Amino acid sequence: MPRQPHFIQPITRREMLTRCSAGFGMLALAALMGEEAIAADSAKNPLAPKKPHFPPRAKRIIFLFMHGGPSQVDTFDPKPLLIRDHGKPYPGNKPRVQFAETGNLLRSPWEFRRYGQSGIEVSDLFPHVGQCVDDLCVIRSMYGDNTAHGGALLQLHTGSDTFVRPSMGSWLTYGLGTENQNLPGFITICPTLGHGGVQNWSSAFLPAVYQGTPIGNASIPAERAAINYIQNPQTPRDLQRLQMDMLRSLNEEQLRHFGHDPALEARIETFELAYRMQTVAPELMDISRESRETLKLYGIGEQPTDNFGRQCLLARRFAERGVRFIQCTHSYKWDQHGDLRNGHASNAREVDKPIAGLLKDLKARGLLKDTLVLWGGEFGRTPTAQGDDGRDHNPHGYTMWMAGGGVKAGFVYGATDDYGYYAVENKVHIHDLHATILHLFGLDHERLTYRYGGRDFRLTDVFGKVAKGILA
Amino acid sequence: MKQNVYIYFLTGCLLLAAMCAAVGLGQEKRTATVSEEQAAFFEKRVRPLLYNRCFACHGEKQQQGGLRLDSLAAILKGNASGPALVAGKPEESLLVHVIRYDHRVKMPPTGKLKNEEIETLVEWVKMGAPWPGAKPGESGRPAVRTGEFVITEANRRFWAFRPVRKPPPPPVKNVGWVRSPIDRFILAKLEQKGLAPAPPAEKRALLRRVYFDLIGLPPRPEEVQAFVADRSPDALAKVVDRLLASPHYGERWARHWLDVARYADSNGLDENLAFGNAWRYRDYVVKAFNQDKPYDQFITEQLAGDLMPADGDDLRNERITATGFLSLGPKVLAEQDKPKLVMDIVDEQIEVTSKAFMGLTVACARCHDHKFDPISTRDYYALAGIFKSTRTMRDLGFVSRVHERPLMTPAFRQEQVEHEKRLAAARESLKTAREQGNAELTALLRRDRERLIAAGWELAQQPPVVSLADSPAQPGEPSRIVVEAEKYDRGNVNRDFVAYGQGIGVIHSPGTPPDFAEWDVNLPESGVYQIELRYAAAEPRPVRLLLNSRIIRENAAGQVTGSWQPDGQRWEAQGRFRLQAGKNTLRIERDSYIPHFDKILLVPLSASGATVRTAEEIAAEQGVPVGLTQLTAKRIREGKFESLDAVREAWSQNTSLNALPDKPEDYYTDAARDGFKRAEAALKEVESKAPSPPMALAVEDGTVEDVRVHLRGSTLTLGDTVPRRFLTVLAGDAQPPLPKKSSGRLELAQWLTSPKHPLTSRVLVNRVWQIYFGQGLVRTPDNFGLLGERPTHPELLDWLAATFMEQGWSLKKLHRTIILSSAYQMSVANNTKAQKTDPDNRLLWRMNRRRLQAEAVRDAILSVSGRLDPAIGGSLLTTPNNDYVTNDQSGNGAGYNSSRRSIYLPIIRNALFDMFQAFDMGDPSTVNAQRATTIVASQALYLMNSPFVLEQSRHFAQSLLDNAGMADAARLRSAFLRALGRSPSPAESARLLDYLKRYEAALSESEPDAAKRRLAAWQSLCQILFASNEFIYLN
Repeated sequence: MPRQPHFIQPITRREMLTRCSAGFGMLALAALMGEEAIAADSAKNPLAPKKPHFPPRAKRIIFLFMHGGPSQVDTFDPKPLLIRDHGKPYPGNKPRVQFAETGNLLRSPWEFRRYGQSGIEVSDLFPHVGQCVDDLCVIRSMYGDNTAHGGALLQLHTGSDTFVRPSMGSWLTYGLGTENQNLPGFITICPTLGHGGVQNWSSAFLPAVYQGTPIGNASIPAERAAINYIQNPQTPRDLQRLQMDMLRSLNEEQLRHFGHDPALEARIETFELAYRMQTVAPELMDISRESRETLKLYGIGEQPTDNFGRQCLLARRFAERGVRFIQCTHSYKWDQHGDLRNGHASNAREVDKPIAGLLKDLKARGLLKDTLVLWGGEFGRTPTAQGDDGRDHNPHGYTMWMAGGGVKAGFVYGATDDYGYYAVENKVHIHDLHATILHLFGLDHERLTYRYGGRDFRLTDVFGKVAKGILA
Repeated sequence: MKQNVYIYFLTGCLLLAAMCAAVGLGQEKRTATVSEEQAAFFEKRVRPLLYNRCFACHGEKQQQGGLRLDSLAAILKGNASGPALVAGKPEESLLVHVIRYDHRVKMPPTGKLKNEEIETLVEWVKMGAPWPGAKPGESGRPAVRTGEFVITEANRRFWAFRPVRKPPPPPVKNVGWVRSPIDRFILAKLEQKGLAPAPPAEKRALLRRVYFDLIGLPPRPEEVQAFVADRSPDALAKVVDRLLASPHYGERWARHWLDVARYADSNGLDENLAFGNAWRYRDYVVKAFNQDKPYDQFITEQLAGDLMPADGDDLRNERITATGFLSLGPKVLAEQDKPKLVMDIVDEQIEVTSKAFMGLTVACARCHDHKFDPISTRDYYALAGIFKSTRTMRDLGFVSRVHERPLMTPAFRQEQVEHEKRLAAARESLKTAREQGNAELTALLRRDRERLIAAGWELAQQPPVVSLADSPAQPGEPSRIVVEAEKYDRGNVNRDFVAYGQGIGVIHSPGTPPDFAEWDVNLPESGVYQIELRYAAAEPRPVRLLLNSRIIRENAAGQVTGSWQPDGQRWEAQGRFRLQAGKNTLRIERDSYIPHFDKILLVPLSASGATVRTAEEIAAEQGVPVGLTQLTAKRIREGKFESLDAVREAWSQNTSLNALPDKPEDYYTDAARDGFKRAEAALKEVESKAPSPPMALAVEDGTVEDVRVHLRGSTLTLGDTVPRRFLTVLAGDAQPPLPKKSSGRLELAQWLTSPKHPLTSRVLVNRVWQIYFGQGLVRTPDNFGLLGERPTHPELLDWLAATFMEQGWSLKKLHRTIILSSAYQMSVANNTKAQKTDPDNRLLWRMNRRRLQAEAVRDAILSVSGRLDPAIGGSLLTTPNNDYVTNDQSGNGAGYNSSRRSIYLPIIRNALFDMFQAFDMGDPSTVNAQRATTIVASQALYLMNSPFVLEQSRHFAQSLLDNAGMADAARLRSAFLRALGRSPSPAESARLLDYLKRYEAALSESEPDAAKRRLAAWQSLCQILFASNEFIYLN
């Protein structure tokens, strides 16, 4: 019999808890109604922590998304032949479907140098991240299918560049639930509204309880990001309390009149929960009590790092509190079809120190061992030039890196060809990346399924192979 | 033939037995290392060939001669006679000989394979017969289901595929409860289980239920009172008829259909462009419901309205607009693999059409035969042909655009006629002006012949005007004057030093033409100067050149130099002019963008010894126009005339010397030229005001074609062509072919709406039932297939479906039938016994308590506050058609600050209105047949803190306080009647009046104004009513 994720017709108080999709704060609501209910029935509670298929290496993930597509050959994938053959045509075949025509090979304007004990090469765009290189697992052989931003974002976030599908954060919370009863399991900080927008954090046909909770969006600075309607613009808190009490009294009176109904009872409690959230959520977003050293580590309070630094620090605060999937978006800036020198340099300056700060902070707090950090864009860029100072989109071979939660540290996996156009060795498709992430969380991507519209769906569709070579 | 094959393989049996085992071992090693190239070769060339030519007789369904060829293991196993091939050795492989027809056995028997096909198979055997996915010891079952797809009798007899029949309503004991045949079907089941239906709902609750169900708005207090007072047996029927006749009915029920039709005002997915004309489809749906358009016609119009006959503009427009149903889907507009994009759009259309009308998930069969339902990949591509033959897109450009069609209206036709008239008049004026100017010019060429020839001859003797910029200055030449363009004295153009002007500094357009720039140049002495300009242009952008406010050249700097960049910069001499010492002002101007100017050069010529005369001087001396002088000089130079006499001679013979020039208007007298320019501008003005018709998102037939099976759904691996047709399990094998000259959409619609179609009517009545009862009789409204649920009341479903069709597919009659039943009028009262027997209320022993949907919550708040704007139709989307609705720059461009009904608020994919999202509208990208009903904190936050709810509470409060003479108790009663349709109980009244006092008291310190305190307290109370369970739930 197919599951009926959406319609609820609660019969008992407990069933109410286990069947209604309460979204943000569902578990807190459950907590208000008695912890035993959860303990007794956690297997059915949609957001209760669930046992993975096998022991996990990571408990939470922070995805640092570089929207626009940073260039692999200018960051983490040095190519000596690209320097040698600068200005010559690319000797191989260009892809069947290209976003735009490109010219001849373009050497990277940046020097690469070796860092740490591993000696992994990082370009001068990322000197701070370079210092953390012994924690990184650099995957130089990523590839995907779509050459345009929208399709590529959707494939990266949902596995499909064709259809509306649940995002990876939704799959992860569907598979594992959430660890914190007062917070959503899936948070995305300042996400982009373009190129798929909400689709990139939506639960699609999974129950709505698994959709991402956006905090702000890319058009506003992280400093002003907040949850919708979290503050009343007019009524002081004490008067609102008075009002909530009256509402409760009226609802209970009606309940006496109409008889017992768990849905109506649950609804009464959501007002209490919402009232409390008005205090809890802003506190969590308030970073003013972090130490000066911490703020400095993330580059907060200085430019140009303040904005992304705040996102990274919020990510750590959410990670500490057990949020399962946290995404920070460095908004649509990495798309240097032209002005590569200036564009990539200023983008990297905005994120380099905050990312390094996050890695160091997680490590110092002992969180890095079970937190997976993922860095990368929706695709990389061509080693061939657009104009004389730009690169086109390239989903055929590019770099993402991971750190922490169960991946080899100070390790390079896979390779692109001599010029960095195509992934050629230990290729990792986006489906493989998804399979690998699920694996790190103790989930078998072929077993994490959901039945909808007559068939079982997976994050990896009918594809995906765990990149075993990167597992620690 | 079959016999022969069998005998042959039998005789080879012993011979090949040993070899078979050996090959089997080799196979294990080999399949482990099927390379990507080999896999691609197999998938692209071998598998389709085997599939198309062999599997029918040697596959899953049939194994003629005991042989199967649909897996490597099966091939190697062969039949009783042994393996069909020897890997790596074509000459030893029976398969190869058989297909070459060089053996006694010749396969396939229907005709020899093409040479290249044979070569393909030979090459594959030579490679070692790599078969991806084949594992040692396994059958190597291919990913694409290859055997002939079989539809069994059991498939055809599946309940949903059997024809609808009308069963007689069953007998029941409690006949007193029966108001409608519906009740017999419900009651019979309840009685079987020993259950009794819930008592009837209380009248006020029932009225509220009916109002929200039919029009999505609460009843007004006087309507409640009238209904309570009406004790006649048809009191409810009268209300139902009145509400069904209300225009609000269409607004409510259209919204249910829009959920199914995945209606939205933007594309969503990757490029969120505004669907600026989608609203016309939405308004069409509202109107269709209000008119009670028969559902079969409603379906036909949405699938093929453009192909239906239509008399008159209105009907034609309506039917074109209806096809927006097919266009509304989300599309990956920037997908650069355009053939894939096309098939993705077709897929989406198959998905929405099959789910919406048939409750089937046909789109599953895109990549493989349906795993559960009897729908094959061939069925899918047969349907795909119909949609592929339909034009959905305007273009497949970089960011592709959806097709739109003009809607002809009498007003537009009239405008068009008037426009044509204006156009003709303007063209006539221009023609007259040209004729006049030309006549004048011709006369002038005749009259001033001698003087023109003299002036032209003299000018032709002058050294040609060529750039001197790169030639060195003559000895003793006074210094040349160079002016940097970017150092202009007056102007509105941009200076650039980094891009177009990298290293040199240029001026270019600011983006708001007309452009101009002026330079004041101080000259040390008077004399003749050659003026030159250095500029870059990748397209011609001629400017006017003025000297001291006088036009000296109309089309200066008009050449294409190659690029806009510094490497495209070129010098161009503009002419020689006599300039006075002191300040001279040069000016360039253009109505549009200018070329990228770098420098101006003035070369003094008179002081260099040679006598240089300017064209102006020569012309003035002869008393003829400069332009004609230059033209004549140019023609003389081009004709290479030896002497003045030769020129005169040629002129008299009517040669090109005295012909009208290419652009005669440049040589007109000032008056004639002004007249011409005015007429030209007037024509342009008229042309720019061409009336544009209203446009609708709509499809039309495109290139009609059958589609090839796409193996595994890929446009790169094509199988055989499938003729366009309908689902085999429902329409049978022997379907008449679809017309060659049209897509087949009309026939598809006719097939769907035939009373014999088993699904269409069942799916629709189930959708309607679900809206009333919270659950359908089939609880999977979009899946009537094998994995869907079975109906809880199959006979009732059929009775409703049959009655619906009998009554002319009328939805209004269906509503009436359901609402006037006892089943619908039950209360939501609980019953402990029934609760235990049937906790899911599948047997319907009571009415389900339902939460209002998002739109009804918002509309009810507006209605109660008194602010609802009842206007019907139109668009509230402010983003222009095809502009981006959401992106990082704009955030979300759609505004929701309106007091119109919710159905008219823009539905923006990827950024749904947060109130709709919180209250479970669902993703408008996919067919949404059943909304969720969640209870989430974000709903509470919206009701507590959103400006909308606060504002409407204030309006509600203000309207209560406006009646100053009323006592607070009466005021409270009025508030309850408006919001909840009932009076407060004495206990409620006492508590709330006390609340008002306490609230005002608590405000006394911060708010000195007593009237404001009072308003705030009442506002707070009104907000409580909006937030209360009773407001949000239907009892």
